[in-house]
Amino acid sequence: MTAEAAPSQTFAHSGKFFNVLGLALKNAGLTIITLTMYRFWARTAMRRRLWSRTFVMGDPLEYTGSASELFRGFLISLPCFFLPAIFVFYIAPYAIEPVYAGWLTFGFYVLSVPLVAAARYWMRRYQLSRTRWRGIKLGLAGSAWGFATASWGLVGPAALVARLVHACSADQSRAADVGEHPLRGSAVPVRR
Amino acid sequence: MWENTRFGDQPFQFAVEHGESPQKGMWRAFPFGWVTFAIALVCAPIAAAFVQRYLVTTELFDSSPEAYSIAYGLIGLGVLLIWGLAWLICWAPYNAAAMNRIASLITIDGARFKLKARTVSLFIFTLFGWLIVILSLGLLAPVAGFLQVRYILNRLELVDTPRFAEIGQSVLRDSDSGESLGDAFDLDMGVGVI
Repeated sequence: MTAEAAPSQTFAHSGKFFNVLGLALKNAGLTIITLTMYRFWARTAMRRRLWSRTFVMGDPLEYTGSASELFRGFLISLPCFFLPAIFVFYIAPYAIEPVYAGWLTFGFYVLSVPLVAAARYWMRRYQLSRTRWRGIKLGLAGSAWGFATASWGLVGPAALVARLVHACSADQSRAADVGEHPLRGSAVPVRR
Repeated sequence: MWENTRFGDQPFQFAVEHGESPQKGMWRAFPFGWVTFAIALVCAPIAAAFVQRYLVTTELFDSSPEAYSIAYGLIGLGVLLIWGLAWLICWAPYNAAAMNRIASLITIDGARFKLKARTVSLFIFTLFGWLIVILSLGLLAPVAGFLQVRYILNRLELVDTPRFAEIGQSVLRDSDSGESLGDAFDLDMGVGVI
């Protein structure tokens, strides 16, 4: 049995509370004045401050993201989420029958569950891809929708359905090769 | 999420050591949190009912009926406050144990992470963060996030060292759509704490 190697203090954060508080207050003030449009620049500035104070084995992290990229993401989320949400919560109750508006709201909440999971994935992917250490980028592979499905607990049923489909097609393929009926089977395989 | 995370071309792994339970170190903390929070959930409204009955019995505010409404409102707020504090206190041991356990399951190139989060200190930082968020109406949420990030990083270690010299640059395609829908939900307190 080998002894565990002595752990080293690999990580450190040299950020100071009042330094971060000052930046947060400035960001909050400008965000209020600009009716939240400044939040992309605020978020970028805060991340640059925090990333640069994070040290791994003595070398700092680097944040290479920009506010314009965040703003572009916001423009994407505008028609995909904000506008439908405004319609569902503020327009539909007055424009359509209350029963249908209620079902619309229910459906929106149901769809929001995987959307939140996918949003977490996209957020983490962007932040990792814009983080460098010693010039090496981090990243996040995979698919947002795969993550969303997994977090919604659909992996089990989806995997079961996939297995059943695969098993049926595999059985049919095997049966075709040996001359068996997939359900009845055969005592004597047929050679082709 | 962790198994898809890459440092350059080197993937992180999220794996349990052979023979170990994934929930190692959390078996005592979980039922403690569950049972004590259930007790707090039940006891807080009962205590509020006793306080309300005391106010009615002693006729404390009979000269000013509006004061009863204010008092009942404050009692309701008190119940919510007790529930919130109970949530933090009862689940603090489990949160610390879970963070330590999750960190210990993450490896990169054979090097394992080790986190030394402690119940009391984690509780204090979390409570302080909640107070900052509540009192600033969310505007100073990044400060709360910063406290969490600093707390974790100053207690995080790496057992063994990955072969950094052999790790190449990432070949994953960069996302050109920012955080996309992530911005709509504002999930990370502005500081990457997801």
